[in-house]
Amino acid sequence: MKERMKMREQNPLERKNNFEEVTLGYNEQEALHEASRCLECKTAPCKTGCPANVLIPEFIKEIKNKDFKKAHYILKLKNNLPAVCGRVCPQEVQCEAKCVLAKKGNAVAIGRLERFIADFGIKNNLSLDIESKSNSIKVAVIGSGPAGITCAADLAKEGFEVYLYEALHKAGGVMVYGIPEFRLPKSIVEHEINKIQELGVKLETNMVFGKNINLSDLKEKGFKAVFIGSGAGLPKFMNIQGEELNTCYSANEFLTRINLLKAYKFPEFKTPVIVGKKTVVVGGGNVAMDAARCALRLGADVTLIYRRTQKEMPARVEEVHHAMEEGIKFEFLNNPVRYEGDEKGFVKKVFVERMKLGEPDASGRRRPEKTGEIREFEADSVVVAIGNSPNPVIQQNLKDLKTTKWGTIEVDENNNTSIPGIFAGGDITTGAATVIEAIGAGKKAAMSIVNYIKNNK
Amino acid sequence: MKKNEIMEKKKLSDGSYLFKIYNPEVAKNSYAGNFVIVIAKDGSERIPLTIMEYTDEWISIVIQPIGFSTKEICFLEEKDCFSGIMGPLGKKIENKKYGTILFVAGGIGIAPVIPQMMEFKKTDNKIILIHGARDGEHIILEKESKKYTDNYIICTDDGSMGKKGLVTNAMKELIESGEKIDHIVTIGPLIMMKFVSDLSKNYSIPTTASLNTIMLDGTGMCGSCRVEYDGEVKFACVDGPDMDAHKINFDVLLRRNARFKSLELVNGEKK
Ligand SMILES: Cc1cc2nc3c(=O)[nH]c(=O)nc-3n(C[C@H](O)[C@H](O)[C@H](O)COP(=O)(O)OP(=O)(O)OC[C@H]3O[C@@H](n4cnc5c(N)ncnc54)[C@H](O)[C@@H]3O)c2cc1C
Ligand SMILES: Cc1cc2nc3c(=O)[nH]c(=O)nc-3n(C[C@H](O)[C@H](O)[C@H](O)COP(=O)(O)OP(=O)(O)OC[C@H]3O[C@@H](n4cnc5c(N)ncnc54)[C@H](O)[C@@H]3O)c2cc1C
Ligand code: FES
Repeated sequence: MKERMKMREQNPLERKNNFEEVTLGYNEQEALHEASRCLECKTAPCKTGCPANVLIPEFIKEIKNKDFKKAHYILKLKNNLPAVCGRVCPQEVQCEAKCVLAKKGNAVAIGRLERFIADFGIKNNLSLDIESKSNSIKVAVIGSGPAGITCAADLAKEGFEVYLYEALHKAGGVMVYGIPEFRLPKSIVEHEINKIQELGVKLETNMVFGKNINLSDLKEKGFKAVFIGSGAGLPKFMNIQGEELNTCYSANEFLTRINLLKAYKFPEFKTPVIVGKKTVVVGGGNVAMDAARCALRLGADVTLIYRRTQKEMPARVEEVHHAMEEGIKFEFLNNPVRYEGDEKGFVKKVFVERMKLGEPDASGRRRPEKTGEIREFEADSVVVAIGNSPNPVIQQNLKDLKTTKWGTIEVDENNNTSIPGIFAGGDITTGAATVIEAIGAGKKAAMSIVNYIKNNK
Repeated sequence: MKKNEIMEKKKLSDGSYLFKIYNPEVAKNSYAGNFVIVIAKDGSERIPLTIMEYTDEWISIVIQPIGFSTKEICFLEEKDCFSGIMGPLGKKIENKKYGTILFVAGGIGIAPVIPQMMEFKKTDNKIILIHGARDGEHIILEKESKKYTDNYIICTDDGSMGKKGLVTNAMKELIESGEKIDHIVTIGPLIMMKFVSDLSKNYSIPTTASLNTIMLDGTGMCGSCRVEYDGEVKFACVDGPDMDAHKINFDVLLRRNARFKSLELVNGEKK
């Protein structure tokens, strides 16, 4: 049995000083090697592990045939953003977890092959060559994260006149403001945004639904349906003492300064960020990993504090591994209880309580319990990365829109909301989840919109 | 006319600039209390500025060039376009009849006060304005101020115009003279708003302050603008910017607003 092909990476000692991409992708030879490991199982269990049902063995087969163009075509049929997913999907709990070879701890590197083909498509500027005939029916898509991009692209392919409204000045959602350059180069997101504009999608940035564009405006202009993909952008705080300190950031603020506004290139770009010599990051998900690795690259000595153990961490395994390689210190089974600052309000100390694992909670993970043992760390900055909730702006402005007790927009299995003609999907309906789930939802909603408009003619 | 085009630029006597900007989508949804996030050029900072006037087609803003980004904006000329204008953001004022409303404005804080006075006048409130500034040159927008007020009091630090002294002195004098004030709105430098708030608390007069925190997105996504409000965390961009002054922890706010001082740019370079 052949070994799973490793992916080349920047050396940890070098990469911790730059924002360039950490993983370098497969070359053709490496991709061919890896593809040859696929057994082409008839039952294709890998597909059931993919929230967007990507035709996995089918595209891998074309890699084996060296028909990369065809592989690209097959890949793109189900996933509009393969170059993104190949880089950020938690494959180890999705497609690769279901791979027959996984049982031997050696699943086919589906994500890396996906990235190889997607990058081939970008390099050669491949398009899907779908002939769409305009039907002049207007549909609005709110939010340009993976859910909105996917929904907009699919509707444009069906001939709809799609307007994509984005609140920020740049399109891409979390892919541009959250996930850092070294994990997902912004040029890739830009390429995908350009592609959907080539499909005819009209992108308008600085447009906030509920503020400068409203449902009544859209109705007046003859829009027939609206898709809401506004994401889960509301940062959670722990409400502990000292969170108001100057250098205590939410992960969203910290990452937005660095990624969207390019504070890592200050003063060429004008938005500042202060990390100091020591940074403490609180949390155990991808967001926490990204924040920790950004702080490291800005020159800080970084300690990550997580209240459970490594096993319970929701972050992608690869990110945790990379973070450790780069020299980030992990303090598992610890939880912050308060922060202390100097007279000017800058963080100086972090007080943490040691935790122990108790009984499993609703998520099936063992619940962290307090022990009463308090320790202190020196720190100049703190990044709180304990999760995001749905942004309430839209729901507050649409009174008839039903929401759940978690603040997400309520939808049925076809992504219909409680208002006919308004659809929703992605993090705004599920709470903070994954890129691929948002893509899956965007696709499904596009289908529902097509049917809705057909039935309401 | 292009979206975000500068229709008019005017220099005011205090060195600040008034810009009239074409953007119907923002303009027709605007109301007193709202602000916009302005991006001068691609790659510029996102800067919050209050909407002073609004029609169906354009808004106006008044901006004081105090740091790199506000100066960068002030270098733009008529016919130039802003790279981005996003809004209207923040809560609109709740317009109702209070009776007598006292506005206490400091320096450039007069600009955000103008639309509020205009709207509150429409609901039959008696409007009193105390506008304080360094000197006479820093008293701007007099014509507009006169138009919407029943009583217009100017005070300057050097006495070159109006009364000599601080706005809080004028405020005390007014209240002590027996004028019954039902509501106070204060907009200006944080430190001034803090003193106005402390004073009005003594007289138990409900007071609103407009919080000029450091913002990024302006939509509740980042928490950069957070304030300590009645012991809770609130976001000035969505819960404000106008908030109950007596519940705000101004000391925290003063510290947070100075948090990037060490990185202030001089001519676009690090100090
Ligand atoms: C730092 C970070 C790292 C992550 N890492 C991973 C990872 O490695 N792998 C993975 O699968 N997932 C990851 N995720 C999660 C993933 O990014 C999200 O699940 C996904 O982006 C959700 O997509 P979405 O389209 O629903 O929303 P978003 O990507 O959040 O996009 C929503 C968009 O809507 C806009 N918007 C909001 N309100 C309005 C309005 N009123 N009007 C107009 N526009 C509006 C927002 O500005 C935003 O651009 C990460 C998330 C973060 C924050
Ligand atoms: C809701 C809101 C409405 C505003 N309306 C107006 C307005 O109508 N006209 C106007 O001229 N300004 C207004 N401001 C303030 C304006 O946004 C700041 O002056 C600007 O962001 C400073 O940027 P800078 O790069 O020029 O200065 P910097 O170089 O960043 O800072 C210069 C100095 O100002 C302080 N500072 C930085 N950011 C702010 C801030 N947001 N508020 C106050 N002080 C700050 C710094 O600590 C420093 O001392 C408003 C702010 C908010 C939040
Ligand atoms: S400015 Fe980001 S939450 Fe208010």
